[in-house]
Amino acid sequence: MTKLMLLGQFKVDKVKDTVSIYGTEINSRLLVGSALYPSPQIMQEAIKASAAEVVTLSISRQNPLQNGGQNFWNIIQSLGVNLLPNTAGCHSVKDAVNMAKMSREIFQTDWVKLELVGDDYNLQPDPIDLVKATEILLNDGFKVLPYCTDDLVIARHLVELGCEVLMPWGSPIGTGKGLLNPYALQAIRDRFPDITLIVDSGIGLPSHAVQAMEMGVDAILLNTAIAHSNQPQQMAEAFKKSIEAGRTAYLAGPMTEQKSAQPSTPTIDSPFWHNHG
Amino acid sequence: MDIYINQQLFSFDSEVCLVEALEKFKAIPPFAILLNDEFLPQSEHKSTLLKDNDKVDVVGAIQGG
Repeated sequence: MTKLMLLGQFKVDKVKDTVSIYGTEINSRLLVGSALYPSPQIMQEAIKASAAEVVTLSISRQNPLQNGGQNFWNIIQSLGVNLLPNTAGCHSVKDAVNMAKMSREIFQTDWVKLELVGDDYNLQPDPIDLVKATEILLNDGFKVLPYCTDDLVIARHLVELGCEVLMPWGSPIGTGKGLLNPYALQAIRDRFPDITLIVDSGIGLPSHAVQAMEMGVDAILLNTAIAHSNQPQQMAEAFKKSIEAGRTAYLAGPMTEQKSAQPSTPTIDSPFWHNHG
Repeated sequence: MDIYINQQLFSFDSEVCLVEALEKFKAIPPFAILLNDEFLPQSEHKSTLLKDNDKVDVVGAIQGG
């Protein structure tokens, strides 16, 4: 990726504004999940409408009586997207590492969205075990995309281990609450300007995605907000547009907020100016 | 000999290798294997002989977020 200019402290490529995932350049800044859709057909249509180039998926015990998930697998393959397997549901380092290794064999990718649940109430990532599992997987050749909280120090540990991508939460999975702590996300963005920062989970509305993108976040990963919409295909389009809008606004650079009103219309030579005290 | 594949009991008259057990289970590629809760790389599938009461997990693709 050619770096042509600096905007603030963030590097921006004006020629081709792509997002890098361990050296793979992705055009779309919207990554989507493949779960919770009303039907496989609607999933397919929504993913196409999102223009996502990265789709998350998972693994579970196969049931040959139900065709072993072949219908889903065939649809996903037909989309021609980059696959990002997750380790959803893992509560221990051992389980997460095993799941990552199985996913690598099945999907033929060394990318892994590393999820390690620390508490079932809010599905909050376990920051300590996440760091341990990340180290094991990076040493085993994985390209780890850790799903983490917005804690700056955990982010620093992950970066120091060699993570080139961080995926902090906006809010807990499936809540749709948006960005609960914009300050914390901004701190991670500012502290690690060269890391690919993807807000993962909690995004409920396109306006949430715009807010994150305007902050300089590189991309958004979401699932429920599209899949649980009344019209997933339409909502996928809405998110696509919102993320493009937020990114463009970030590149353009915002105005400076003012404490008091500033007239937008020139008042010099106004015939009415003398009427006011 | 009893083998548990995805929590289902499969009985075999004699010693069985993993590949035979997977054929009986009708595993559909692509899949990956956990043997007694440990990941078993694909390169070891053909050479693996199962023992009585071994637990085999056969996993494949599903939707995920």
